[in-house]
Amino acid sequence: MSSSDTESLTPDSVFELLSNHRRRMVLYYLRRNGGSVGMQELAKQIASMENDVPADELTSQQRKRVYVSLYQTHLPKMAEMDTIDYDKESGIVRLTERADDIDEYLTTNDRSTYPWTFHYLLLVIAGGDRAVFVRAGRSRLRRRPDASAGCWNPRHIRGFGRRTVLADSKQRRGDSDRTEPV
Amino acid sequence: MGSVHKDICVTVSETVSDALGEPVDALPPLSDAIHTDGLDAVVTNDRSHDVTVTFSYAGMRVLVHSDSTVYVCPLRASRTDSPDTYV
Repeated sequence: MSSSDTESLTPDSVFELLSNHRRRMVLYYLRRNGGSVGMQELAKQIASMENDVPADELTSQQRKRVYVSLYQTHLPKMAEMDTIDYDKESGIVRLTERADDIDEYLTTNDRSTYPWTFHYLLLVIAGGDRAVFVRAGRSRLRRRPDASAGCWNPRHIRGFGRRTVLADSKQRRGDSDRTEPV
Repeated sequence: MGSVHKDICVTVSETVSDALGEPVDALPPLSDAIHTDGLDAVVTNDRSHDVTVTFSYAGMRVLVHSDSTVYVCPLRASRTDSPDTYV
């Protein structure tokens, strides 16, 4: 899991990190609060979010369970991935620059990484070929009902074209705001 | 949020801490001993699952069963003695 300073996080590492709610909360809290915090305070704030009670009304058990979970499990894992620095002596947890890699995977917009415009363009091209083929077929099989050939109807090809335009404009409308990792 | 978390890793840490008579802070990270997300996934409310995971941690033999039972015994005694601590 350890990686050199120059390499960015792999998608597998990012999704593994984000697969746990407490690790997401650590990232969320650090992002919201200047990027560094004491271990005890972090545990208190996360326990407060988890249990939906104000931090000063937490039971010691609620606080302790989150503390142990962070200390024994999640912070070592995040430190191993170089997304946080964790100083055991001072108990200070800090976000590292590498944590920025995670932001690429967290956007509020619906912009897809899949090239839908290209996908629909291909469908239009493929649909055109089929239309020629179906027309040839229909001239040979005149008694075939229209409905059975409906899926290759040229009207649908125009439909693909329209969808291409819609998908493209939808992609353009998205903005690049980052979301909160919780 | 307010949901109940399984926290089997916390139970393991606390059980080992109790058995050794040492504070949890003094124990090595549990994540060095086992893939903790995987351990979380072992525990389930589904009674048709019958899974037990065994690993060594902080000089102890740890057994975690899918019904969230945790057994801990010293490594040297694990072959002959029955577990001496359970939750």
